[in-house]
Amino acid sequence: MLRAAGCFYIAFSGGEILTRRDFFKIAAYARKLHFALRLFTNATLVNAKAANKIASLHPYCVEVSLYGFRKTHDYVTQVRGSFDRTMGGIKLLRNRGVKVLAKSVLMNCNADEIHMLKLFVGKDIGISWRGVAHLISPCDDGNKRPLSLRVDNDMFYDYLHRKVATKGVSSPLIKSFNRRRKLNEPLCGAGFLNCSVTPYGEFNPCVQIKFKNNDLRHNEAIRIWREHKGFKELRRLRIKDRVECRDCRDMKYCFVCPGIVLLETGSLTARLQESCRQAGIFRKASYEAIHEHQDRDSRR
Amino acid sequence: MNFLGRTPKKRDNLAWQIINGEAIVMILGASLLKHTDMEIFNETASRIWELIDGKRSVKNITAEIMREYDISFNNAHKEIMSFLQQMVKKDMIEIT
Repeated sequence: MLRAAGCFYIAFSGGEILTRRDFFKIAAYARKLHFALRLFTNATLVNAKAANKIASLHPYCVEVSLYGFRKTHDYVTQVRGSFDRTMGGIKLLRNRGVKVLAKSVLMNCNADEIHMLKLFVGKDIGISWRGVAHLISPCDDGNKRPLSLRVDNDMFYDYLHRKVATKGVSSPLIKSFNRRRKLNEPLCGAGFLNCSVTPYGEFNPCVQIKFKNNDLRHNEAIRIWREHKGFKELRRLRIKDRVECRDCRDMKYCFVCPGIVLLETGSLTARLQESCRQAGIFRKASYEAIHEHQDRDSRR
Repeated sequence: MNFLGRTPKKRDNLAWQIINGEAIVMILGASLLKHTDMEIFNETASRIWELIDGKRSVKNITAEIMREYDISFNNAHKEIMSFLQQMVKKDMIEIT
């Protein structure tokens, strides 16, 4: 159904994909249908046999989350030895020519080591860095416990300042702010470019925006995509519908995930306090980075 | 060399889909990071790409293209050979 609908990529995510006994059967079927696969795994279950199987799938990439160095990573996962097992899995995949990307989430317990982690991943492990998520989301059931891991203002400023200090105004982060979002743009790619299928066959715009009456066992994906009321309503929403935000001076520094907004506030278009806080710090850090570089240039 | 009896086969490390009659093909591999590693074929090339299944010979593919597009053997064969040569050069198919 996804193939007929023109889908090109499929990302398999969890939980942990390798805990499913039928994972390789499902993935092999997806490859038989010529999809490009992105596999999200913690790599702790990747032994030589699993690495061979993954390599034989020719995935587009394997994405692995690293939350810090050994002590921090094990603290976040709550599993002693998980860092070493993840590293072991990454190396097995890397050695088989699989494209492995490391990624992370900025938290108050790892903010001071993210930059070093990125260097370590590139230089010592020899894999690429996918990026860092700044916006921690609540649990799928709305539980807000993970939000206690969000960085405070000083930590976030220091993190950004170090990030832009390395490349200055040519930093991708600064460049990304120079693109002012248009008011008639969609909120995000969910329901436009992306969709999500749960293990129960529910077809949604993304992993966080969930609808009802969307069971793929009773409906075709393309029909739900085109005709489901929820998809239609989502596609009608534009940046201008974020009425509390559309005139905000920090709009271009603001990262908002509508799915997270929905989980935290119950609305797709509400103002997310955390995004406002981060946008203010983004603005300050980028202004200062630009001025520092101008000062440096004028002294030359 | 006579290619008519030989059989082209797509490489395993490819992702591809036909979307609105056009084949979009991506070579998958560790060194490839950009979306620009995608190839998009025109309508005829897309149809030839679809017909490459590791079972049909060049002769069979030529016959199918002649029939579908109502063109001569020479024109179909020329088109197909040019496409296959490009695909071999890009290591997207092998011909056995």
